[in-house]
Amino acid sequence: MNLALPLGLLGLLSIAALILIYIFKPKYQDKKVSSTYVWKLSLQYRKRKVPLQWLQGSLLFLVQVLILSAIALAMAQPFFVTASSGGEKIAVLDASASMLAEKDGKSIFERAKDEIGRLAEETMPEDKFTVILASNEASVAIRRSDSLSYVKQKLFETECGFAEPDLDGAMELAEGVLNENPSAEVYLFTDREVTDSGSVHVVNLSDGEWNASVLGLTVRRNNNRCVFTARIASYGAEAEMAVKLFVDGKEQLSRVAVCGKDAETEVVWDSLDIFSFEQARVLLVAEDSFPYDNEGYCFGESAEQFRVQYVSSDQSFLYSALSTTGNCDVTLVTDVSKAESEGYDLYVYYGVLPTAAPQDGSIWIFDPPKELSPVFGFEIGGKVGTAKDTPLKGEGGNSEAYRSITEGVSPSRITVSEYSRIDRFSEYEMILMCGTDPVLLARESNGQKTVICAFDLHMSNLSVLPDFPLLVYNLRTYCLKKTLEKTQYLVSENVEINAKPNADSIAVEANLLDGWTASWEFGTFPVSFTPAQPGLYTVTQKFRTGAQSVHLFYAATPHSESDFTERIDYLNVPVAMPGAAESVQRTERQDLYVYFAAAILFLICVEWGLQYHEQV
Amino acid sequence: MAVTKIIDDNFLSRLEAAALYVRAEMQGYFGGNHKTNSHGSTVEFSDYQEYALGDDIRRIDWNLFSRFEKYFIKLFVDERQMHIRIFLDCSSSMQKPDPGKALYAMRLTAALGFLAVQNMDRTSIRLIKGNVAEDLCGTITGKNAFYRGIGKLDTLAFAGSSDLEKSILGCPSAGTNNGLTVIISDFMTESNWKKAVDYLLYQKRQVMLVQVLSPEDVDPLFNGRMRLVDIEAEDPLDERNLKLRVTRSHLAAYREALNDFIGDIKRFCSSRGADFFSVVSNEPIEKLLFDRMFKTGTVK
Repeated sequence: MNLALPLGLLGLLSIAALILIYIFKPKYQDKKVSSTYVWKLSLQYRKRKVPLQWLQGSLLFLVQVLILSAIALAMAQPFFVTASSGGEKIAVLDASASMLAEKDGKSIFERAKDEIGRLAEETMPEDKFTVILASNEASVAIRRSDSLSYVKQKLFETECGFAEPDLDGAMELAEGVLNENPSAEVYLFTDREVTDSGSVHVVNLSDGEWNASVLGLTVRRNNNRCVFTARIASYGAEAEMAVKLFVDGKEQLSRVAVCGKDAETEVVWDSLDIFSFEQARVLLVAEDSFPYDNEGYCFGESAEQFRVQYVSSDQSFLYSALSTTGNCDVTLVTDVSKAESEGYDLYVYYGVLPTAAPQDGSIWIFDPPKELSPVFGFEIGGKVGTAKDTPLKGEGGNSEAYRSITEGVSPSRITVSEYSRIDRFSEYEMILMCGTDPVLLARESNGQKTVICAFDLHMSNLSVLPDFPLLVYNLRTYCLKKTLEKTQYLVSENVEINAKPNADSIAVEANLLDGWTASWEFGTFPVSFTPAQPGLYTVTQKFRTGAQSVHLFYAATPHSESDFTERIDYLNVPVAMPGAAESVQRTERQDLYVYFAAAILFLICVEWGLQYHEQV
Repeated sequence: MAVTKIIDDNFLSRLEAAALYVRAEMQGYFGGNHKTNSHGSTVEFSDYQEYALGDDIRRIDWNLFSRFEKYFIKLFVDERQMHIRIFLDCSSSMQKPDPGKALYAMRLTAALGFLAVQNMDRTSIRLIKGNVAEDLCGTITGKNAFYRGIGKLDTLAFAGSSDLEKSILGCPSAGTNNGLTVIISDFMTESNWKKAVDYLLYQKRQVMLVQVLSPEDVDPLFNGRMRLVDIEAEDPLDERNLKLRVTRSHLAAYREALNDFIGDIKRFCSSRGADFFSVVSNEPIEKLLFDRMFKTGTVK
């Protein structure tokens, strides 16, 4: 409390005057009566004295002192310097998928935007307002604005995502604002309970929403028939719902799933005469608050084909190994001059080298000749003969190339009787060694992978070892990349689309909820695509030959977003850095006249009451 | 205000129609106007009595003899003169702080005295001052003597304290069974006046107590922190003085105490066959004489 006129406190001297009055005034007034006889008798009729009666006697004096004190303070014009009732605010808006749950036609996200709008109205224009969007990646939507119309416009434009919220990132961004104004208040608008929110004001806007969710659709084989199993869950309410299964677009027999509150159940289709399929879809028919996870997909087992050009004067064990692999289309070229330098996923050169390196695909070079080797970034020094039982050894290390290529392979069992010594191989990583010389090397340059094997398989026992198919498999896995690594992704998860060597363009088409579609086209590879919404995505590669290949994947909402009961256990509460800017909190002077006047009035009433009580 | 002025002609004319009642067992003196239990020589028939040797044969009722052939003599009512003694409390509490009490007491004394003399009774007025009961003007017989004696009340001074017990017990002529004794006081005293009443009753006096209170005695109008000074206490440090915080509850307790005090006197008098009247000085004296005393038969 501050005083605008401290001299007013001189009024406290009146308390001294009051004390003097109490000291000098006669306490008892003389009253002559004809006789005190009856008065003495009356003493026996009085009620017994109550304890603390001495306090009653002093109470009047105390109240009078309080009145004088209050008057003196009022004369001193007291006031409070208080922080603004508003103050700067930071609104962190949870823009995760679960905020899209609707009730009465309005989503939680929309309700949160309304609440933020109201908070902004209370705050501005006196104070600044910040809105941080906590979607899959936190971002500042509005930074310390003092324009209400701007805030409302930006809020109107803000859309909710379908991924998990990046609350930690959002709180870090809030911390940045706090460093500029440590007194700013942080509000989190979400649909989740927060166990420990610290100084963050959590506004939970959930209102009894519930969610039925497809957690997954799997397939297994029973007597060569396909058995489909859908995992269903209901969060926030018990539910009985129809579950539909579509296999390659054809609807199968529907099932009814009864799901307890916050429980999971399985729906099984085990009597379908389906032996193979490309695409299966399960659909929940439920009037829940969140429809974006009411379907699930699984896809058939068709293997992706790779084109391989095998250049060698004759067929070797390696050719046989590649040809017997089901998903490799191997083209044998015996004349290196006729070999193609593009259009293949893998180029295998056995004992020969082309004059120019292939422009696409991966390259395997076995028993390279001395000539033309610099084209591939290494030089052959000459043939080296070894003792008959000299085993190979792994170079060791923890590189991805080493781990991928040698997984399950025992180098010590492999012996080489003759190999080409490679003198310069600065870009390559050594994988296997024979003595001090590398005999298996690998590199990745501009996305193109090259593997060099410095010996002829005929000069080694490798081809008769069980390690041989393993090594070939590992090399294939290392060098041949599928267009899509998997068929199930989460929203906002990065999808790497590996283009085929002769791909001309890649188109991605999304089939979203309620029949909405969207498409994207890419001309440069590899493609990194991030699905923003749940749905079925079709990846179509167009080749220069005019042919095209189609791949499917499904992007689902994260399970944590489907589970409405999940809590936020820990919130990274933002704290201003030590030595941050001084508080720029708005202050305002609040006069206390009214309160003191009320107090004086009240005390006068009390004093009057005590006087009355004194008399009666 | 002079007492004689208060007892005006109109008031006296009303008093002339009234008389004090004195019980019949009183003896009194010959020549009065009060009927007694004894038989006398008035013309008012009282009873028959069988003739006995020595009776006046002139009183034989011959009509009865003709009926019963027995001699009966006629008896007649006897009338006596009574002595009304009035003890007036002259302590300062009767005059201060409200002089109305003293005035009322003097008027009542005068009125009772007039009732006595106009009924051919004798009256005497004793002033209780301290421990003694001073005689105001001797025994009054007849209205002329009454007017002379009562005139002395005008100069009467109420001062000091009084002891009813000692003054009445010490009075040389407290009287016998020849009349009524009236004690006029506020009775707010530590003195054991009950002993004095018992003494009078022992002397076979008919006793009447009149308590005169001031309006402030009945309903005190002050409150707050008070030092109550007893008007009879000359010393400021007298034990009778009281320091009190007079509140409404205390006033209620006072009224309750006063009621109980009056009730105690009333019960005492009732148990002794004495009359008791408690009056407030601002009430008309006629109300006491012609209303309350009439109702109780004290005045007829």
